[in-house]
Amino acid sequence: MTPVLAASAAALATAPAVLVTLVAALLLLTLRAWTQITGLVLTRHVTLLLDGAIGALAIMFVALVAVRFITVG
Amino acid sequence: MADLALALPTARRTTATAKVREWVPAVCTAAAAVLWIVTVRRTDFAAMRPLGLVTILGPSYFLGLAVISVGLAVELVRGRPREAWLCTLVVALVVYLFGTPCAVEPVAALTSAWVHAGFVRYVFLHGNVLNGFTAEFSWPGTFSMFALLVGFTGKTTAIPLLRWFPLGIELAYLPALVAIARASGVSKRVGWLGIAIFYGTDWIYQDYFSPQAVNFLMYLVVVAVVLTCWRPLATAAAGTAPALRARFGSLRDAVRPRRLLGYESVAVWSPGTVLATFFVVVLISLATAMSHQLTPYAIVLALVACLVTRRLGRPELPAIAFLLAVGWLSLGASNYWLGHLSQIFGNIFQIGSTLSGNVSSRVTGSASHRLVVDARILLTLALFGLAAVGAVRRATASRTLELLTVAPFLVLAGQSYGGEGLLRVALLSGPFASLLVASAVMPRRTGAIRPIVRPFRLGRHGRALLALAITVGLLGAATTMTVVRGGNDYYESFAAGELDAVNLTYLHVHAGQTVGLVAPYAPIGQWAVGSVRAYAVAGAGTVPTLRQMRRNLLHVRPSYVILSRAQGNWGEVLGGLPTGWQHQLALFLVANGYVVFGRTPTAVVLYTAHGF
Repeated sequence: MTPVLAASAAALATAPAVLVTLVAALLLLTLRAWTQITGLVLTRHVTLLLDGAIGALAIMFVALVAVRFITVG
Repeated sequence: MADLALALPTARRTTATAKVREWVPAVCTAAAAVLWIVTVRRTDFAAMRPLGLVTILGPSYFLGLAVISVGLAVELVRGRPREAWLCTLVVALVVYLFGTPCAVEPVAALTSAWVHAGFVRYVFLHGNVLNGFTAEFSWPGTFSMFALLVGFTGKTTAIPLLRWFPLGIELAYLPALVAIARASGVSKRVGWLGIAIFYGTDWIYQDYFSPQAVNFLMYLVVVAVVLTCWRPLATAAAGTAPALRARFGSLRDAVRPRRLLGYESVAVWSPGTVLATFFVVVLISLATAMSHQLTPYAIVLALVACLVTRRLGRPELPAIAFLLAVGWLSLGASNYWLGHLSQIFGNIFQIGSTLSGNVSSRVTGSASHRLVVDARILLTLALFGLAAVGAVRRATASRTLELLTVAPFLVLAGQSYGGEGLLRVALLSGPFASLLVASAVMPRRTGAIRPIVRPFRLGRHGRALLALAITVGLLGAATTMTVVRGGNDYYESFAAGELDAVNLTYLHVHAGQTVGLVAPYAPIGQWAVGSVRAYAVAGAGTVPTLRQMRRNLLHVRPSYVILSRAQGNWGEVLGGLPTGWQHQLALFLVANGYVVFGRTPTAVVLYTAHGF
């Protein structure tokens, strides 16, 4: 699915790309909060991986929203 | 309690005086109730003058406000204030300020409330929204919720809710306000005084049947839950007040990663409860994201304010709220921004022009209207000015209230919100600014963050002076608020005859036809959404000349034209048109093919068979 979504600017601007990124970011943020609140101990490597993924998805989400505004709006 | 003991001299009271004071709140509440009933029974809506609601309220109303202010002041300066009586008196204040218009005005005020009832009916009947009809349908959460409620009650319309909605929603704010006051680090008496000040200065008429009224409740609940759940980690209190330079230096701590990751606050609840709280806040953020344009971003800013002041332990919450808000704008509200991107991004970072545009666009109209607008500006400036005094006078564990007061103003950096941004921002800041104002009167003396100005002791009669100051302040604020909140009621409230005229029109109008108005001031829009068009010659802020009205009405040629009391008053107050100008307009329309279709004591319906 990813290659299809990233095929062109117009494809990036479609709702599925924004939605998929949004849902992924939300899930990871919720996972992070859940581990912290319940006191689940994560290794430093996993924590960095989780935070990095959240950061990357958030940036991707904002970029995709911007592309959607420009190409559709 | 300890604060007041420090601020006031200990007074030796006789048992008799103490007993009298014990009964003051009860007597005040009973007297206020009687005076309110007298006010409502004696008020004649038809006698309203250009200054609005205040012109029809008799002395009993203001006497009642004075009685409530005295009751609150006496209870607040007691050694041990009784929360039950404070709550009762605040409820009485709310009934006076927000329930009186509901009781004395024959039908619900504000056209927007009727239009929203129409949107709810559309969602109820069709199970979806009408794409491209209005920007509000791009954030339909509140309409869907009320459509569900309407269905539960067995009705088909939300109209029965409209009239008493302002009182109901203001009372619904109270539990959240109490929770915020209790958790924000101010004393019990400052909390109740702050709540009374909030209601006494909440002139911004956003509590009518609308998404923003419901979403303001959501906003308060989110802040209340977060403040109650998380507390700052204890830090050592400074012995003396540090220099201003050292204070500004400590601002750097607010943006250190440790604080931004939530490690400087601690949850007071069990992990299970915190997890449930987390999901509740996420759920509210989701509901708000799809219900209102502005509130989701205000929630994000409030959560960030709590995070940097050590009152939120989960940095994921503002991130999730932001993603949901932007996600809905991008995906759910695309009907709104397709082709209108400049409306969203055109005003970014133009705070100066947004502020001046929001203010200057309202300072127009007759002398009475300008007086009301000037009083609104002064009341708002006084609130925020006194809040600043409270900020420098109080000691505290964290500057959450200060930041929550300021944070909503950042929304203005985004957009002007159609000229209403400043009003909404003042509303969102209001509860926190009010607690700071109360802190200016009775500042806390303990806390890691020391007051900027040195505390001073009141003299021998400190307690009596404080009670007098609270009474005068509350009464002054509540009286001003009554004048300015109801200042537009001369043309924004409606008589029963005006509703009858609108209903008569809806009874006969066919799909595809247009109902014409001179100005958007009529109880219209509650039926036939999407099939019958309502056309107003003038916008809410501009008043065309009589010649322009005639030309436009003949050009559009609506099948029905409704001329009514509220529209006539609007022309007189905002446009300086002569009394009876609508009669001239009606004669002109009759001379140009219209016939009088129906007439009530306060409205006339004109009809033409050759209209659109």
